[in-house]
Amino acid sequence: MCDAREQGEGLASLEVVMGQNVYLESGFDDEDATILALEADVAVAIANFIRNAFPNNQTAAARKLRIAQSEVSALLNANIARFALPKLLRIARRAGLRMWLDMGDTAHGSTAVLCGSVAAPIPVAFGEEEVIAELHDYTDVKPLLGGRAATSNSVAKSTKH
Amino acid sequence: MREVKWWGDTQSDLAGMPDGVRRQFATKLSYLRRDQLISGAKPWSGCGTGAREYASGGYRMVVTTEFPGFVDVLNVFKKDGPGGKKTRKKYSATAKKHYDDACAMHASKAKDSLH
Repeated sequence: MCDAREQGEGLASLEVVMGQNVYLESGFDDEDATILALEADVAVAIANFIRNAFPNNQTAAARKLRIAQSEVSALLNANIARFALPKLLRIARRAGLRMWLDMGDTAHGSTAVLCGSVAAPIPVAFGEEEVIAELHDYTDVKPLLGGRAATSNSVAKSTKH
Repeated sequence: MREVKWWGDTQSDLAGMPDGVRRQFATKLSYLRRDQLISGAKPWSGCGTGAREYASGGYRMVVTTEFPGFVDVLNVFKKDGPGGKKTRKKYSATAKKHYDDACAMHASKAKDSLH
């Protein structure tokens, strides 16, 4: 739905927004900083999914994502040392998240952006725009919102700032 | 997404810490940049309402998200052994100084944006 490669202008501004790599600034080399930044981006997206789809119910989140409850807790508390990128991608897939990963030319440009269906009707930064993406997955978890979501799940809404 | 602003020597101080600590603190900053809540952080007094202390073993990082669009790193340090109250004061004073600098910078930015 939001194919980043088709949005040339959006990509340019995306790089400015995402240009800071805290791992690089913390002394990691380019290779490590690239991988760690991607891991953090995916972990944040998963944590966001958990907070919105399973508020105060880590056990249910663990069941849905097929991980231990302690791992759900670790993801929410930013303790992601035990998660390698492949494992995070597996969890993101189970959550139904669609992500676009870009290593960039250097670690400064490495980023993972939520794309397409998201877990909750939250705006996602995409270039200069904030996108509210499809709600299919969220309504799987919160069927009561199905009626409300039906009015807005066909196309991504975007608002310029 | 927020910008991480390193105050004083915080960036080089963090770069001098062990890999695991650097990774953990950088991950916390990555979460905070995206306005993700992190439970288990202790409030840090004396630096406004948004200052929090994050721990990794004996290491500490003091951060505030009080200013819109920024994550300000106020201090990064290795905690002393028990009874180090004086040193604690030193770290508090450094964080406070950086917080005051951050207040001044963000206030002048806000002023500039009005003109």
